[in-house]
Amino acid sequence: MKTRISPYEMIVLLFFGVAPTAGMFVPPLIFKQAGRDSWISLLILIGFSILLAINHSILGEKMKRTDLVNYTKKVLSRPIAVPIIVAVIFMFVFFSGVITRESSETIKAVYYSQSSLWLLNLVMILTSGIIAYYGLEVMGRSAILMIYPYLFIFFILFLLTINEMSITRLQPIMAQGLKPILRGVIPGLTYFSELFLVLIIAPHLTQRGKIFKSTLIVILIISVFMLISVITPIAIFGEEFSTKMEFPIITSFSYIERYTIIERMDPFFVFFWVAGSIGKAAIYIYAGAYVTQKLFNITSYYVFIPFYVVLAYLSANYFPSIYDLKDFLSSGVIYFLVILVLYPCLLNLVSLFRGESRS
Amino acid sequence: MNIIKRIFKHGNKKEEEKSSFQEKNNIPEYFTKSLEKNKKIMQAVFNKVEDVKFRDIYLSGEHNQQINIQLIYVENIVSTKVINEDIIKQLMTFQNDDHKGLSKKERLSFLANKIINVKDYTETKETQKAINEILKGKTILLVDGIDKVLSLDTQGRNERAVTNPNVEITVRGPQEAFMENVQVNLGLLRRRIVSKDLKVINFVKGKHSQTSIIVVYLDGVANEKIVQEVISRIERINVAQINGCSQVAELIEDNPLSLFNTIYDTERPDVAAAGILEGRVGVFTDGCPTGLLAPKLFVENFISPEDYYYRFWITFALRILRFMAYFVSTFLPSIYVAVLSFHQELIPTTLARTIYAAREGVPFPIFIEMLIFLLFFQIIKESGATVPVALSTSTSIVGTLILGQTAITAGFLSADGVIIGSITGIALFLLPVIELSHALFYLRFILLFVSSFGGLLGIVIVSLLILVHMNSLRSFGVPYLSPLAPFHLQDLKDFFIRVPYIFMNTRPASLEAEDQIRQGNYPLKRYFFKYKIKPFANVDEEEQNED
Repeated sequence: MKTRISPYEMIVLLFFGVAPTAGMFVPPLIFKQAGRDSWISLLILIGFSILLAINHSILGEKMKRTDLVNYTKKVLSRPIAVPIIVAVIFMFVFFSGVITRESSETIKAVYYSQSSLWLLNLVMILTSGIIAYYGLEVMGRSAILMIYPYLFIFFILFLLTINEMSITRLQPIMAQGLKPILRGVIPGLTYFSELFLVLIIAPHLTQRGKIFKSTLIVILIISVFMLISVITPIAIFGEEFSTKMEFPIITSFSYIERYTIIERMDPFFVFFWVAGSIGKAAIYIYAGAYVTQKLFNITSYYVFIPFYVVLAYLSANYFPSIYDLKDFLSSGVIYFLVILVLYPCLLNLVSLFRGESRS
Repeated sequence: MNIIKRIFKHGNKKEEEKSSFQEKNNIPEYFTKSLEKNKKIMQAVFNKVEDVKFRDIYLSGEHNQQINIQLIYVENIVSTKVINEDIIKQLMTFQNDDHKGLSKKERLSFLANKIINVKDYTETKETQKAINEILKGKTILLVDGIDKVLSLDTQGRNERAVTNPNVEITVRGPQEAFMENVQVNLGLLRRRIVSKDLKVINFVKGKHSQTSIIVVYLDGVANEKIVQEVISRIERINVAQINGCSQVAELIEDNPLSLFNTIYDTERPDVAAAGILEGRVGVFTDGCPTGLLAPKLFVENFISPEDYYYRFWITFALRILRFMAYFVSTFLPSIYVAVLSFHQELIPTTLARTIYAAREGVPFPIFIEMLIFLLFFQIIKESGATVPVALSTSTSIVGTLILGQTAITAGFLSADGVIIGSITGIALFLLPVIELSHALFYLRFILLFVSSFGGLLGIVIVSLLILVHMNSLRSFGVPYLSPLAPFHLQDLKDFFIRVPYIFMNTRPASLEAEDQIRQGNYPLKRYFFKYKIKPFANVDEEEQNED
C-alpha cells in the first residue's frame, strides 16, 4: 500500500519535525547573542523560514510523485546526486542522535540526575526506532493526537505565567544596535532549516497543491510557539538572568504557583516535550531509512532501521558533554545549511534551467 | 522446484481430502437407482451412529407394485412433529392413484410438491451432500428406482426463547438479545431493517462442525470494498470446527495479536441494526448469541446503547465521564507510583505529609503495594463474575469491606494506596465495552511496572508506543483511531457528544459508506423561532371551503 499523507498530517509532522528541540534549545542560544532583542532575531528567522517554504513548495510541486532521491538523480545526474544523498542520510541519522542527546540531557538535568545518560539515550532511541518502523502514515496520525495536549498544556502554562511577566523587561528595543540581533539569528538557522522535511513528505501528500499553504500554517504555529518560548523567560526574569539559563522555558514554567493541588506545573510540559522529541527523532530515523531505500531501489525501508538506530545511538553518545555538542552544532552550521538550504535551492534552480514545470 | 510442488500440493488439498474421505469409507460419490444399495451406503456411513434413524415406508405403486421409501434423520435435531405429522402420516395415509401414471423421475417431485408438507426441500445426487444435510437436521428421503434423494427441511432443535441482554443492559432500550439460532437472529434484524437491500450471504465453515456463518449488509450503503474484504476473509477460514463468534472474529480481524479488538461484539439486535444502517457489515455465527460488526473504531468502546435512548445532553456528560474513567483506570496507579517514587516535588507539602504519614509502617514499597492491591481487586472481580449470583454479594463484602479494611488496620496496605486502587477499579466499571476492560488489564500492569523503574518518563514512552500501535491498527481498512486520526470533523458529532438526532444528517465519514446521506435536513427555525400551530377549527373551515 502506498503511503499517503493528508495536508493536516503534514502540518503536524512538520511541527514535531521542528518545534520540540527548537522551542527548548534555540531561546538560550539566541539570548546569549541578542539579549532582550531575541524576539527580533526570531522574527528574522521566521522570515527566513517563509523563504524556505516558498522554495520547498515550488520544488515539492515540481517533484510531483517522484521522491527526492530520484528527482535529484534526474535533475543533477547520478554522479552528483549520490554523494549529496549520502550526506543527507548521514545528516538525518546524526540529527536523530543529537535530538535524543539533547532530550536525555534535559531530562537528566531536571528530573533524572541519578540515571545514566547512556540508558536514557538507549531507551529513547529504541522507542524512536520502533515508531519509525511503523512508517510515515502512522507517525502522521499519532502526531495529530499528540499535538492537542502538547499545545494545550504549553498555552495553559503560558497563560498561568502572564501575571509574572512585565513588558518593560523587553525594553529598550535595539539598544545594542542590529549586530547582536543578526548574530542571534545564526544559531537558529539550523533549527528552522529543518523544514527540509517538506521535501521528504511532499511526494506522499494527497493534495499536492496544498504544500505551500500547509507549510505556511506550520510556520505560523511554530512562530507563535517560538515567540512565546523567547518572550516568556525575558519578560519574567529579565535579560540578565535569562541569558544564564540552560532551559529558560522550563524554568519559567516551574515558577507557576497557582494551584495548591500540584506543587509544580513544569513536568506536565517537560514530559510531553520529551514525547515530542522522541517523535522528532523517529521522523529523522524514518527519513534516513526512506532516503536510503530510494537510493538503493529497495522495496522496503524497514531493513535500515536497526542500523540507523545503532548509528543514532552512537552519535548520541559521541559527545562527552552537552557543551561539546552545542559547540559542534554552532561550528557545523555551514555544513548543515549546505545540505538543508543550499542543496534544495540548487536543485530548484537547476530544475528551472532544465525546464521542469510545476504543473 | 520444491516450493512450486508445495504450493501446487496446497492448492489441491481440498480435492485430496475429499477423495481420501470417500476412498477410506468406500462411499460412492453419487446415489444409485437401487434403494437397497443406497440404504447400504448410508448404513455404512452411519455405522455406530445410533441417533441416526432409518425409517422404511411402503407405498402402493402401479400394478400393485410396492414403492419402497426410506427416511433418514438424526433424532435429536429434527422436529418430531414435522416428521410424524407432515411426512410419515402424509405418506402413509396417501391412497391416491394420481402418481401411478408418473415416471420414476417425476415421482420424486410429486412426493415433494403434493404429499409432503415441509416448508423447503432440495434434490441431490451427491452422497456427501446428503450426509451433510442429515447432520444439519434435515431428513433425507430415498425412493427406490431413483438416483436422487430429497432433502427435507425438518430442522427443529430445542432452543430457548429470545431473552433480555445480559451484558449490554439498558434501562430505556429494547429488552431483547440475540440467541444461538442464527436464523432467529436474522429475523430480529429483519424486523428492524425492512429493506430489500439487506443482503444475506451464508457460509458453512468448519470441517466437522459445519457451522453456518451469515454475512449481512445493506447494499448501496455499506462500502463495497469492506463487504468484499469481510467475505474474502470468511471464505479463507479453514478450520476443523467453529467454537463461536470469538473464534470467527479472531480468524478474520486485522491484527488478532493486538490487545485491542477491531471487531465490535454485540448481543443487541438494535445495536447490530444501527451498525448495519451506518454502513457496517454484520457477521453472525450459528450457535453464538453475539453478533460481530465490522469495521470497529476505538471510539465505539465508549458508546453505550443507552446513549441513544436518553436525551443528548446527559449522553454528553456520560461520555465525558467514560473518557475520564478510561484514563483513570489506565494511568492512575502508574502515575501514583511514579510521582511517589520519582517526582515527589510535584506533590504539595501538606499532601505529601499526609500521604507519607499514612504510609508509615507499611512494609512494602509503593509499587509492590499497588501491585498487590490491583491483583487482589482483580481476583475479587473475577470471583464475583464466576461464583453463583447468590454468593457474589458475599464475596464482594468479604473481599472489599472486610479484607480491605483489615489490610489497612493491620498496616499491610496504606489508606491512600487503597483509595487509588479502588478508584481505578471502580472507573473500570464505567466502560461499556467489556473487551476494552480486558485490554486495559494488561496496559495497567505494564504501565505500573514501567512507572516503578522509569517514573513519568517510562509512562510517557509506553503511552507513546501504545498510541503508535493503536494508530497502526486498521479494522477492515478503516484506521482504528478514526475520526480523531485521521481527523474527520463531521464524525465528532457522535464522539464526545451525541448531537440531537436532527443534526445527524450524514453517516460516519470514517466508514466511507456508499450513501453518505442518512436523513433529510430538518428546518432549524422551528427550534429558534416561535412555531405557530394552526387551530383545528381553521383546518375544518379550510376543508369545507375546498369541498
